[in-house]
Amino acid sequence: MALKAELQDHLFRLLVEGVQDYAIFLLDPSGHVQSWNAGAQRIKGYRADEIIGRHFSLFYPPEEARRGKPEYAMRTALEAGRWEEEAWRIRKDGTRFWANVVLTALFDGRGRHVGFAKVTRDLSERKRAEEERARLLELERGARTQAETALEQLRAIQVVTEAALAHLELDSLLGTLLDRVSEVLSVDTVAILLLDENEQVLVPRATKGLEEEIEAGIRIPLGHGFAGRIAAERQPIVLEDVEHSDVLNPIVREKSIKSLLGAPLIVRGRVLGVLHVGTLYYRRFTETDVSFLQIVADRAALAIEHARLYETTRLAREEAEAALRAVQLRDEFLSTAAHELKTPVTSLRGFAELLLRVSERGGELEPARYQRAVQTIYRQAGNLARLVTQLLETSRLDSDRLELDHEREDLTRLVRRAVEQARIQTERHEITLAAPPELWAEVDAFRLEQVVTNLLDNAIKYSPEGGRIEVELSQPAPGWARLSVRDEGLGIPADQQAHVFERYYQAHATSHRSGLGLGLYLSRQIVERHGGRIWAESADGKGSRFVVEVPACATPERRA
Amino acid sequence: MCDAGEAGMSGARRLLVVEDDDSIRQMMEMVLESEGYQVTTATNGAMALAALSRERPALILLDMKMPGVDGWEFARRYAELPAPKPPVIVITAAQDASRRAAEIGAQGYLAKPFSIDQLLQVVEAHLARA
Repeated sequence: MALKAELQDHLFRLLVEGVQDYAIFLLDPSGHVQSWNAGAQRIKGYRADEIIGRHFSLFYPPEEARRGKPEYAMRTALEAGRWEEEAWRIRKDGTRFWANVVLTALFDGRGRHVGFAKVTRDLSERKRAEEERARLLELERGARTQAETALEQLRAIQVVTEAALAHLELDSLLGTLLDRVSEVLSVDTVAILLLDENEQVLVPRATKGLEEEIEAGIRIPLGHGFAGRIAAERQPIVLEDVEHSDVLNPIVREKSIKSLLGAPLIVRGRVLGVLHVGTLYYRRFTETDVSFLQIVADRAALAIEHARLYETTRLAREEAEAALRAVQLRDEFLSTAAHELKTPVTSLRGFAELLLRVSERGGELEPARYQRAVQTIYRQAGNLARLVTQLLETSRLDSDRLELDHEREDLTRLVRRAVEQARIQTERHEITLAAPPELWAEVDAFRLEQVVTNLLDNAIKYSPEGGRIEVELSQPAPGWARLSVRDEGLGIPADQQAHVFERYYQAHATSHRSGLGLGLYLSRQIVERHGGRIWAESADGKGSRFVVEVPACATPERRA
Repeated sequence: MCDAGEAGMSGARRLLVVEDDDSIRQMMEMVLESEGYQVTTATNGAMALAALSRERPALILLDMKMPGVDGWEFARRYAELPAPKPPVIVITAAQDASRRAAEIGAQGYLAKPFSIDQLLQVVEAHLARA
């Protein structure tokens, strides 16, 4: 048993001495080193023969040794049985290491204090690892924040780019840009000023929070003030203290904007204007803010350029189309006019030649034929005169030279004259007239007779089957004269009624030869220039009624 | 080369005038009749085709712009009728009367406004050729 115990003792000493990772050694009750193991030598640097017998306070940093920390440790271990700490310790070469130290009081079988066991672990590696980890964590956190900021800006730029691409129309584009920029930069005001290249001034075009700018008609000369300098210098400018700066815009001051950041809108080297943002509190705009605003400004400039090009193209295309339509309309009109003029001339000339030929040969046409020839000549001469008048009047209207010649006229007489003329035109229609004995008005008799004649011509033309045409002149109210012409003809389809007074419009253009398409257009112009109005009432296939109202003399003038 | 059997219904001096304008149609009718022609009149293409099914004129004088079946439509249907067919003279107020005639394969044209002499010359020239 004794041998066995001795062996165990020996093995145990070997174990302790062999441990590399821990310094395990004994102190006598006063703190002097009694034993030393391999771990102690490795960690602290002393060989056993150098350290045994020395006081363990040698391992403490001098200031702690002076303050009596080793004694305090021993006392505590003695009282509590055990004392532990993590703290700095000193190696033989004077370097420090972070250590975990456990000091245990040892007692013999009789309870006598015989010394201390000390176990020290070098935690430098762990501490370094922890510090490194903390540093890495900090780095990672920073990187993540940076990444998030970058991502956010990227998203903002994307939003701006999408807005720039989505809107071809300048106003909606600028509106969207303002919203996005104010969101992303968390600012109180955003303004886009565009450069008027002729005048070399910046004019506010779209704003958020500075709406008064546009209303006030602010104009900022290039090179002056905040925005003017940005445009002239082609550089972003930060104004952290607006109050003590050269800002010209009175609205910015009135709104007590504290800080401003602006960037030029440049596309292909050309300055289009300025984009600026402002805050109602003092703000230190960062370099990131500045470069972000410049990126936004670059995209905005490109989008503005696109919108302008699109607008220019659209306008040019519309103008070209309108011009083409005008030319087409004129060509069609000229061809119609030529046709309409040649038709009466053909029969007029033919009948006139026939009469001449017959008389030259000493012959005679039979009475019915003679009458038809002369009547046609008379009628077609009238038609020709009317067409020529219409053309002339239209040309006068176009050049604004249609001047009315107002005179006191008896409308009853005027209308009767027109009705009698119309009766000569047709044999198939019965034209009736209901009118007061006289009705006086201040009118241009020649023009107003044109209107009446035109309405009668239409009534005849658009009731090819013949029938009654009722003409009525009345005074619907004191100071007003009303003429209505009603026929039993084709009528006007509902969808065309709004257009019959338009120039060149022909309701039955495909089915009937219908003149120049100027009659009702001219009639309306003439009536309206008399301070009156004209309208049509019709049901398709059931005839039409055209009504004209013009101011008349309140009391009929009796002729002596 | 007229078919003698149909002499009663047709003749070297029978003409068909297709024109919607009353004044021009009446003028042409009167002028041509005073020169001894027999004139059938129609106010549109449909009436003209109907007239052709009844009689056989030596020449057709055709206006182009007419309501209903106009000159172009008439020419299309006329082309489908069996030969031999009388020649067609186009009467038009258009600037390029000769092109109108070419469009529908007509043999001649007369531009409005025409003189009586022009009308009679065109008619005589085509009748002599036929």
